[in-house]
Amino acid sequence: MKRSSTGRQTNVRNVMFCASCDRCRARKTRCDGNRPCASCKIKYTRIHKLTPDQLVGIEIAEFGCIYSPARRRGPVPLMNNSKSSSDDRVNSDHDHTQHKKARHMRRRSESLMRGSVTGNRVNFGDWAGSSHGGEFSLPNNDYNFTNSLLSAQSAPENMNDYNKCINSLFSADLASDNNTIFPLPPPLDPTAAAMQDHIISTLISMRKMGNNMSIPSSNAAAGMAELINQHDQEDVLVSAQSAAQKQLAYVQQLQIQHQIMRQNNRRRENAAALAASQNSYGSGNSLDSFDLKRSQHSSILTHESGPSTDISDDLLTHHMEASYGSGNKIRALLGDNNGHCRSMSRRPTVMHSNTDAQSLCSTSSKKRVIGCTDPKVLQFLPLTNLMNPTGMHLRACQTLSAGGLFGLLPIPSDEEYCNRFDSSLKPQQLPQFDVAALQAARFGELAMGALATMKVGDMELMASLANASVLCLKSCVEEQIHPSLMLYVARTFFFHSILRLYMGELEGYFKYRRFCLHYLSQMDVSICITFIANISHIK
Amino acid sequence: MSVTKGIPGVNTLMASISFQDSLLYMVFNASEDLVPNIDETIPRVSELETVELLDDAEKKYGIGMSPSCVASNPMNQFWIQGVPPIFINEKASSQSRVLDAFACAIRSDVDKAKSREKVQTTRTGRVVSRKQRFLLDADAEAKERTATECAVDFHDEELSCTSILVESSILIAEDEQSSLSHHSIFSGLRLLKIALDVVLTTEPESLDIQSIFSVLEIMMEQPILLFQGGPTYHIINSCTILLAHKINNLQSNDLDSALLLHKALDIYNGSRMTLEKHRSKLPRRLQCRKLPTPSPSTIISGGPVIDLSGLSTCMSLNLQDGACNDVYEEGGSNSLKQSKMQTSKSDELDVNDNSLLTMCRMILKEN
Repeated sequence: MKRSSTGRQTNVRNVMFCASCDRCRARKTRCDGNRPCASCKIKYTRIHKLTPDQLVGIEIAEFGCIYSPARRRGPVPLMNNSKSSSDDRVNSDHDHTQHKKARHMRRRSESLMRGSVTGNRVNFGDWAGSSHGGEFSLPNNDYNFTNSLLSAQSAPENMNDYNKCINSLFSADLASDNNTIFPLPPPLDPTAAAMQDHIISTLISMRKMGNNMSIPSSNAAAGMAELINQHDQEDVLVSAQSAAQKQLAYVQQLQIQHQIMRQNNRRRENAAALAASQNSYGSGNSLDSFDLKRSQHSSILTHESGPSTDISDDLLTHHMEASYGSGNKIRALLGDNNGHCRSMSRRPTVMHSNTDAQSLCSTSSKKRVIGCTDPKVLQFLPLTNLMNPTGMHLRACQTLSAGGLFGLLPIPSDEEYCNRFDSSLKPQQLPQFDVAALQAARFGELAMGALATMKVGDMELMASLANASVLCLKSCVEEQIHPSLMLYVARTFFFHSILRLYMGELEGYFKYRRFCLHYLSQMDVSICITFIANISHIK
Repeated sequence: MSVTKGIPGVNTLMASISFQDSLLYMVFNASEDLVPNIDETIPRVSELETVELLDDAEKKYGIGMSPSCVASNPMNQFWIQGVPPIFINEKASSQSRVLDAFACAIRSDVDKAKSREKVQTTRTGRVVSRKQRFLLDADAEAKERTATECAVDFHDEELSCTSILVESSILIAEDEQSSLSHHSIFSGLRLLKIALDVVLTTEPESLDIQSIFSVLEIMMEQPILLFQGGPTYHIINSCTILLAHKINNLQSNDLDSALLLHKALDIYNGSRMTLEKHRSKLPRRLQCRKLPTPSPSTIISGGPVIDLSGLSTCMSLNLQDGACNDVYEEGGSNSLKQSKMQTSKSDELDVNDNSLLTMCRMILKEN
């Protein structure tokens, strides 16, 4: 990356960034183009109550001053800039025609790019990635893929990039069984599977056509002319591609819905089986009793968070607050130790219509990133998966050491947490900071497991997991997390205090412990508020 | 509000904090003056204006048992002390109550060791050089008895070490009937119970060597239990020292005694190696003094098999650097250097910590 004098960033491939930062563009205020810009500095000083002199030494990333790649507007410049001005005048008519054709071509390509990115965000966002505030954060291969799309989008005059993009879109993986561009779940419905095969074969044939149309990179001007000559053919190709992609996305949506329905059915069956096993408890072996223990844990969880059917409205209200008041950081869960929670006064009246809130959640969740998306967190996110072998090992070590002695309750998965409130609630509909709080607790647990398996002088894994937990905590401590999550946040602070102790920082132990106490001091108050809110709603 | 006193997760967490605090209580020798001053950076939890004591236990002991009461109690800002708030709460789970009871017993033992050390020092008239300044500086504070000491003296029947461990045994027995805590892989609580019985209540002369064997065998089977939090490692280290005392007193006159001595030496060596490996993973401030190796030559000469000079059977007196003596040591000592090195290492490993703490601090200040 290079930085110009005004702070605008330009990379080596001449990707231009907007003159104004995203925040100024959103607010339509004047931006001085610096990084961070003046308005972002002012906002930061207001939030953190600092004077401008105290801003020295703060990382630029802390200001949240982000410049998105610019989309070029206006006519496309000629590819061959070495022509003399006289030649330009002579060939002005011809150039004008070329401009028109090229602009038309670019609009086509841009619409394709937007369609791809939007499709990736909305349709694949559940498992492939998501976007937030103009910053794309897709894991693994998708990240590069989106970057290539973005670079092609921001510099459409570079047709080689465009071709690379098209080629990457229909990469060799698509032809083989290992389809990484469109990661499809295994087909459940035979009709959907047949349709999926048909679309993939169509895309493969189109890819072959696209390869035949590839432009030699050595001569860009000649390639441009050739491309314009093939304009009509490509129009057909582009429209077919976008139509095929839409169909594919539609099939994927159907498959996901089908999977969710099956999962829900399975959950109901499991719950029924569990209830049956509870009734027959008493003559079982150790494994049966272990299952019972788990079911007891789940019942304890339900008890802890109140009646699940009643609390759902509270969660939806909480979501409304989170969705509406993204800048309204209440921060009432800490402090105010006089026996009442400030969030009470700001909490809107309990909604009478669940459907309104659900529709609100569903619309707001589409654009939301799930949890903390820092690369250091994403790196270790697979460990939080219950089926990940390393994660299982670390959790087992944690259970066999501190977890077993302390008898702390297990941290629910996102789905389990949603099911506490409403079976129709999806993790994507949860507020970002609530998910971050759960992630922080999971990483804290894993770090404790890493502590128990630590070798002499090697605390890298433990420190990395602790870092991931700290990053997640940073995403949620300023926000008003749901009261049922406060215990997990307090526990995470406690785990961090133990980790600091084993790192040799006694001061760190007392600091984290103090924060834990601050959370615990609010615990019964906030849970009471939830309880009272539910009672008032029932009445 | 009383509805929330039965929240299992909160009380469990509070008991865990209490147990973990007992280690710090031991490290800092029950003196809050030696604790790093964090009050300026992170404010204390504000004390509740009114504490309603509704429960019988609350009225009896004069403390609130709800999480907010415990967390906001000025006494508990560095470590939970005084009357164990979860142990006396009958609505809390058995496991939490036992853990809090253990924490109280450990604190009580530290207090006893501290007062014993003070008496010995004044009686002999020779003040140990390393502790001289500590005792002089903290003399005013040392005259005052700790909150735990006062609580134990005032409620001796309920809160003495013996009573607490007996009550804990009953609670564990009840808990084992209803849960899986008796299962071998969840034996952490049981291990602590047996180990504390050995270390705290039994007189060294009448100590049953088999109970020491059982503690150390569990530890050798599952060394991961040493990481289960609190002063587990320190308690088991004391058990090993007690075994060493027993070995020194054993005489191999007959075959049975010889077999017992042989077994005791095996278990001692195994435990010593396991504890040494764990010790190497700990920061210096948490390390106990190194356990000596048995010397076979002394058996022939009739001397003690294991040289235990400098080692105490008391947990808090076996810490590598004593109780927070780094602060009072003159500059340039190896321990201080190593301690600083460890701190800088942890600073290198964690890059996000300071910003999180700053963020939390600002939120607290705003409120």
